[in-house]
Amino acid sequence: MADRPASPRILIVDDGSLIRLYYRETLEAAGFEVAEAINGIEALEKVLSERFDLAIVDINMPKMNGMSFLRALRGQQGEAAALPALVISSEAGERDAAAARAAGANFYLVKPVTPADLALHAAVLTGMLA
Amino acid sequence: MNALLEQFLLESRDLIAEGTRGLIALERSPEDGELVVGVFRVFHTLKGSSGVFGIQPMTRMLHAAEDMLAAIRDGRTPIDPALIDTLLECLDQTARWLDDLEVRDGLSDDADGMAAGLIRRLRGDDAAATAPPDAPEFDDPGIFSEAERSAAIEALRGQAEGTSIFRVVYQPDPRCFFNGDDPLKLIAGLPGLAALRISPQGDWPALETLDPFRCDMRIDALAIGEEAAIRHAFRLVADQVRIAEVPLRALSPQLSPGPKSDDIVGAVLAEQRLLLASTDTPPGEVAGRWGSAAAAAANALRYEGGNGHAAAVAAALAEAVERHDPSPLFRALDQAVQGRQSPGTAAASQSAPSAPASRSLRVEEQRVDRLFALVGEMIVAKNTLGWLAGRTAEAAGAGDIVRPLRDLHALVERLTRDMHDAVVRIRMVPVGQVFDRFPRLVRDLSLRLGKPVDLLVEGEGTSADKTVVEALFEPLLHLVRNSLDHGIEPPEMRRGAGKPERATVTLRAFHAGDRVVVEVSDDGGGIDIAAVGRKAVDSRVLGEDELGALSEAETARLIFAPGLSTMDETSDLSGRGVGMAAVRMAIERIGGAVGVETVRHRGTTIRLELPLTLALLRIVTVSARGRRFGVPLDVVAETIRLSDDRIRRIRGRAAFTWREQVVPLHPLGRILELPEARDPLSGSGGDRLVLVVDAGGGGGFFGLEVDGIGDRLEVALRPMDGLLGNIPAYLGTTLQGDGQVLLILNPKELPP
Amino acid sequence: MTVRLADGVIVLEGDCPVDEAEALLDLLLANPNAPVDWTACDQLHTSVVQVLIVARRSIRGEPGDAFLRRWIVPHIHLP
Repeated sequence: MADRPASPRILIVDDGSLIRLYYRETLEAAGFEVAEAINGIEALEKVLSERFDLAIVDINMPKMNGMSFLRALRGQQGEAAALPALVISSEAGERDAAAARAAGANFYLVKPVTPADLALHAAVLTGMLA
Repeated sequence: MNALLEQFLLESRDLIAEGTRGLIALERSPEDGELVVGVFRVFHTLKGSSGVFGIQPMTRMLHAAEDMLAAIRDGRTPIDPALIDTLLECLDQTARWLDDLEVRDGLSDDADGMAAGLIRRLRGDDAAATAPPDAPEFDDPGIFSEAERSAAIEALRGQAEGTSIFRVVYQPDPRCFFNGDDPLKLIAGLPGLAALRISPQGDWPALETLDPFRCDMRIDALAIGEEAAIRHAFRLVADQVRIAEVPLRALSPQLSPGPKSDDIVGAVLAEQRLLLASTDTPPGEVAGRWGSAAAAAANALRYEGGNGHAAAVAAALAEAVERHDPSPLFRALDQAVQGRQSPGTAAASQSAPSAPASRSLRVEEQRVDRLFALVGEMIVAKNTLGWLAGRTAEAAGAGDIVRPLRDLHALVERLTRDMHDAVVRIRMVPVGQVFDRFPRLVRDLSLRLGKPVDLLVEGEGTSADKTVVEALFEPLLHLVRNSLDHGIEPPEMRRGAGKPERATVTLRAFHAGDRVVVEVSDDGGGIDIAAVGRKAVDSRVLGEDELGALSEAETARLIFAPGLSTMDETSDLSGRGVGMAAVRMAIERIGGAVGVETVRHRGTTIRLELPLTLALLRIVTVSARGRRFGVPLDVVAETIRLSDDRIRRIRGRAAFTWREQVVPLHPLGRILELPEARDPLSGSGGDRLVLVVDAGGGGGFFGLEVDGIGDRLEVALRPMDGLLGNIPAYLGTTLQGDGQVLLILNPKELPP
Repeated sequence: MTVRLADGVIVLEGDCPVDEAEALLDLLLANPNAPVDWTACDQLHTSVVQVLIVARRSIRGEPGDAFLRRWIVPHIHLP
């Protein structure tokens, strides 16, 4: 947790281009730097090769769904494994939140997420000062 | 977020097209697993995106469709045509809802009903008493007020993990009292009752007619607890009760599970604690988990300005890792939580970032239209410049200025032409946009008519101005329907003629020079040209001898003549009796031409030639009864001044002689029924201004009398749309320099 | 009797079982202007509650039972 650059970098992991667009617009307007991955595999590659401050993960994706991605992430060696992860999902049950936690998520939000909520949670989880 | 909605509409419409293609293909090859997955992904993505806009009926319906496709994919349900139909219908409904959303920002009022209906069809009507927990009417807690729902959510907060909110719908049997049941007593026995609503099954009866021993109640309740416990309470009346977990989202759209949203930092800290506390983490993931929890917690604390605590957490992480023991982290977290001031300080004082300004992702249509209008204005200005240059040349002593002025005019003329061209090219879209709607149409028509037909599409990437492309749909629709209805023979007939049973209709587009050609071909029975000729004579389109003088190709073209109909137009599929003449008119109106090639028993091709872009139109402005109009110059043979003595009356109508022909005279003001009556034959003394117009179709000249003639201009024609689009008298409009709209007439359609 | 008429008021007392629903209904119909007083009642069978909901009669006081007070009172006083 050394000094970080002015704009925290967020990786959006979601297979829906519309959602990725929505999150990107919201987060960039709030001052974040944003990168995108359309599935867990691509996300893992990016996380291991670039530095991020937060990952926002959608739970239901093909190829490698959000849960598997999280577990794979946590199982890595090195700094990347400790990347804070915010899970956004369409399921609102407590069980789903618990499952995400078990996979290593640091927080859980339910769709639809308002721009304000998204930006706020991203700010809190990356420690970005307003 | 307008840009977001636009993108959503764009993407979703693409997805709908993709889904439609997939479903039609799937119908032909039900075993193709990849097709199923593809269609599943379409519904899945549509569902996900729709969630952003809070259009719940649509999301529910898509969810049910997605479930169905998952069942198919997993082999639990077979594919049958009825199911494909329903899924296609779901896509249709989605398209309609997208239109609703675009126009009025929300879904139509019957959205819930439509969604429910489609969901029932998807699930098969035997859903009934065993409705899955998320049957739409059931899990919608809308029956409870805002306050009740909030109270329930509040009550949930203090509870242990594994507790949820459940919706209970208890509909006691009317005779339950005779079984010793006391429904309200059961309800009273629920430990976590959070909301209760008693309503009559139908309407409450009047007191006088009330049967005190008949239970007429329906009981809706929200209960907090564990599912097992709740079900146990109702175990003796399980057949009269439905219990399902209510997703928190359905109670309060913006809720995320957890503590108050205005103490996000507190929530994050609490969550990290839970994360650290889980005991069944695989060893390889522990370090990552702890590290991320520490990072998230420290970040949250720093967000609030609690840097000291943040540093303590960081240090605790190092210690925990070294000792393989999370306790230091726990302690640091707990201390931080205690050390925080009460919620509502730093966290709340951070203003939430406002929603980002909408960004355009692609050129907005309005901007292009405006540019287009601006170019139009420039053209008018250029015209004025030309006039000025002309006048200057006439005036004596103008000398030096004439040459430069003329050069300037020529330059501006070139520039505006280039600009016009450039803008028009921005508006080019692929013809495929219109072609896309046909596979589904052809499939449905083919089923309805009982004629197996394959649709081939070629050259869908061919592009033309978007107005041209959009104007194509109706004519193409008519042509395709015509092909299927009349062109293509019934399967038995085709078999008898040795043709393949499956007929083929082809939609083809390509560029030819500066035109776009679109063809509709079928391998049906071809047109009976002799019958067309006979019908033309019968309908008095032309005389017997005229018919004799026509070649076969020319006779075939008669199908486009107005007033002709070779087929009984009562078939509901062929439109409302408008016919090929309407197709021709629609195409000519956008500057195109129609043609036909047909071989008896082999097939027919209708050919549409269209301009690539909307050309500039040369017009002359005229006035009639105080109103100004534009008349395209290409149909004006001559402009003359007519003195009263040259006007004769033939069978009660005015006419005059022009180039040795007798030509009818029509006053424009009267034709258009403009107010301010002025009898044109009352002899005003002055000469009349008449444009001699070539109405086409062989020898059809007429004189159009106007009150005044103005400038000749080159203008950008904008075809009319909407309600006015069907008035034959008008070609379109153009924008004048002063911002006024000028109506451009279609003179050929004017004579009464 | 847990349901009776006293001075022009229909009084509910103690636990009112299912049978009392009919008695209550008769009293309500016979005395169209009589209010209902349930301050002395404990538990009411569903059938009795149903009669009260339908009757929409003026009701005095609050019942003793917590469940009735919290969940049934709002239904009785609805217009």
